[in-house]
Amino acid sequence: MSPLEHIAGFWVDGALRTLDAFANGFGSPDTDPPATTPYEVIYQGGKVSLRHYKPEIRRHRTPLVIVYALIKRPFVLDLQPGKSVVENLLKQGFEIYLVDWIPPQRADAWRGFDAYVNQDLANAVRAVQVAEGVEQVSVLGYCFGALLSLLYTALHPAPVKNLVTLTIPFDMGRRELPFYNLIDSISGAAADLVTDIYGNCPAWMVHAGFTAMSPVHHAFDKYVGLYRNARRDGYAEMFDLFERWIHSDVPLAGRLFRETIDIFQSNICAKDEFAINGVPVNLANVKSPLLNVVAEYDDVVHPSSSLPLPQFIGSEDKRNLTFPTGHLGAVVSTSALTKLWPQIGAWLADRDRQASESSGFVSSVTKAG
Amino acid sequence: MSVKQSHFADELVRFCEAAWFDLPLAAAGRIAGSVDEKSLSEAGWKAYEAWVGLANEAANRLYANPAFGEATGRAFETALKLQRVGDALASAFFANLWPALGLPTQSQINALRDEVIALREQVANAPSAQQSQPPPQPPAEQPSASAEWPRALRNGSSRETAAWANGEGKQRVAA
Repeated sequence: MSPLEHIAGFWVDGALRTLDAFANGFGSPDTDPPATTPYEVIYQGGKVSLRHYKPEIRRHRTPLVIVYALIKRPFVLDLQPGKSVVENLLKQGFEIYLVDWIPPQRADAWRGFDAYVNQDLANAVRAVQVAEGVEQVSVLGYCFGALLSLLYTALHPAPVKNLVTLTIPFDMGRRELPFYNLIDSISGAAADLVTDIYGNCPAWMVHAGFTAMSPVHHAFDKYVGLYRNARRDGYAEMFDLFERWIHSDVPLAGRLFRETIDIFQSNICAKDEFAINGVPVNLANVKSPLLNVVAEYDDVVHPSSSLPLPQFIGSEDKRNLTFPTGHLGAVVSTSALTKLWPQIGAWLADRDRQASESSGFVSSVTKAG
Repeated sequence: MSVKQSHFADELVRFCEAAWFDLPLAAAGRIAGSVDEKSLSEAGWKAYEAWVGLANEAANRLYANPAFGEATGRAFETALKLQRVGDALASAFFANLWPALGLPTQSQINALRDEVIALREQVANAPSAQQSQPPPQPPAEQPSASAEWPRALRNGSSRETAAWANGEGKQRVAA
């Protein structure tokens, strides 16, 4: 790179940062804490930044693509040493790629499921295929990311070897969680007003929605919990990290916001009536093995919203795995990290082993370069 | 499915028991010297937890009330309409004020930003920044390439892609 290009690069970066600061009112600092597990970004495009985490010892041939939700930042999957799903899976020998969604700007208001699934996620999976030299990958989606993973697999079944959906909001006709009644009350006109005024659904609105789900906890109880547990080793540190994550909301792209409201209000996913850009999402196209992980005490996505999924997909190898934890507990609790994630890893390893045996992949343990 | 189902009446009974019976009893026992500090503290926390449960259940009942939902929906829509009117008035006022002060408007900043992004794309795609290797062929049975198919993968092999993403390319792109 010539010095001129260096200077041009620096100038462009500086100009963009200044303009972003104007656009964000100088009040939008980076919320991600330093990464617990080292990674490298192997691809950036659209609204995706694809992280690659290398295991010390690779034991499985098929790389695992983790699709995080679009709602908050993904560092909850890698909070602390010993409190990290990423670390847990790396120790199990998986080559991990994490889809880190780049928060949309106002100019991204046009982005809907089509852009996120057919472009960004498809490109991310393709980047993994090219980087790894493989035809297929395993896909693991968390919460809204699980819904994106499911839609991607239904529309592009060939690259997906195994699908794991974790706390997926699928059957939105369920109203066991009273908060969801409020979503019904958002009129189409109100949703249009949100996108007219802001372009996207702003982060503060997303945050307000989550706070309203459990107002007593957010306003009061969590601080009392901090007081009660102040003497517990590491509790305050964990509390800070959690707070940082809770406040790491990102805007929801305008079109995606409208489409998500439709999904919630009309339950088109579970009615098998969902179409992206006019192309019907036929869940029977999902032929890859499916592990649908359900958190028994989930107070964000009710278990009854997730449980019906296997009935809708075309795979023969499909099952629900229910674990006694909450929505967040599924990725941060000690019990989930010691009991649930080894099960998920074993399920993936079984299917990887079967495929490796049939394709002659003998050396299942290779030292990562 | 054993999601914890709690009902308002149950929570109310639990709270009444904890706050109006157990806690006063423990306090009286403490004064009399028959109950230790720890037991009194436990009774206090039990009352607090019962109160939290009751408050959560009250919020849930409120959310489940159709009239509350309707009122919230209307309030939300009205607030947005008011905001739009306010925005229109403010932009009408400032549209004349900013140029008079010599400051750029939001739309001018946005236009400049778009221009800078386009410039960035141009710099990133400059011929000298690209490598000479042919682009890798994506594996068979792929979804159609999107308009945003990564520049990174056009530049060379996977390792080179990684180098691009983590080296100069990343610095250039990641603002």
